[in-house]
Amino acid sequence: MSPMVKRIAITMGIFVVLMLGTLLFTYQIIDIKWISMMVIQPSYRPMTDPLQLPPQSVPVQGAAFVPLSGSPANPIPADKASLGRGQFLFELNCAVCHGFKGKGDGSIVDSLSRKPPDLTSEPIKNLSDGEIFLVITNGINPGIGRRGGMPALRENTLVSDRWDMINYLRSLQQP
Amino acid sequence: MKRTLNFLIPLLLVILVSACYPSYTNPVTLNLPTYVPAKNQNVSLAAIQTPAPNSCLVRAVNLIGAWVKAGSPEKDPFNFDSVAGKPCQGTFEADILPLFIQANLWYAGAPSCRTCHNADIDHSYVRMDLSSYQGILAGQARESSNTKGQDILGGGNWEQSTLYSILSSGQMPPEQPPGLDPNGPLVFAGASK
Repeated sequence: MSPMVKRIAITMGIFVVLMLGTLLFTYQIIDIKWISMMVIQPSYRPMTDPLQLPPQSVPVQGAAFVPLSGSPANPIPADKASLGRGQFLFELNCAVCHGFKGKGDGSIVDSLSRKPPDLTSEPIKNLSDGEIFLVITNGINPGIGRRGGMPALRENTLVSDRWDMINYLRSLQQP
Repeated sequence: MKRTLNFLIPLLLVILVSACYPSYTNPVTLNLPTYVPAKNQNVSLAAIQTPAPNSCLVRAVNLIGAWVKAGSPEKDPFNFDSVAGKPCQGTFEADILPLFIQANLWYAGAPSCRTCHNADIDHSYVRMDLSSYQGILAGQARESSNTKGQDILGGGNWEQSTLYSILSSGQMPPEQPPGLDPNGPLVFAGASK
């Protein structure tokens, strides 16, 4: 065996040993837990429950209304800030069905099986703020087998958002 | 000498270039809130009224039943018994109508009846108006706001009426939580005789 061939054989041998050693790590026969700084943080893992709230924490928003006490009263005065915010939220959440002026002429009305009511009509004007608040909160369920209704917006809006929307709706109802 | 220059010239260049950039010795601080205090002003207690001292505690469905059995009078008072068996007297305006036009009464967060069953017959569900005395007597499935439909009060026979079967079976108000009393919530109404 010439020195040349011997040198190539040794080089190949070292290469093969290195490759096999790498495979031991690749297939986790030797498993080393490398520290990854992104893993060590408070976060939700896939398929885990959300973390529980700390003890003695309070809801930031407070209660929305007192149960079984009749229609809740509107706690937010209809000032300029409330109306401005109410207009933004109304056009975001309500206008697609009820129209930008609340006339029941939103852009998707033609595809609805039951037309949304004119919010500036007399029966809606007669509703108290608290009744409208609970409609926005819980939506309208027409009952089993009946068509129509309205989705609940309690997950999309804060409590104060809903009162702002009602304040803006009242300003639309002014002649 | 040449080696010193090879080291110094890049160093000077780095100092020159870095001097052209603004210094960040004053870091930008954001006013992030670290603590959000509880805001309880979202609840107004203004609408909650204390019941009159001599008013009677009664189940809502039984109260409507007593009114229907008395011939559903609009102005005249009618008699009913409280849950304690005490004889009491009420009127439509003060004791029956609020059951139809008050939200958050049949259960926590319940809609009022007139939310869906209002005077706009064309948009009202089952073409019924529960927002007024005339509307309640006119019944359901009305052609227009001027005509009468099917009677919902059973013609004075409360146990056979549509309103009783819908209310006591828990179909309405919709989306009731389980475990409610079939005779409705306890309400203060009327006055003891």
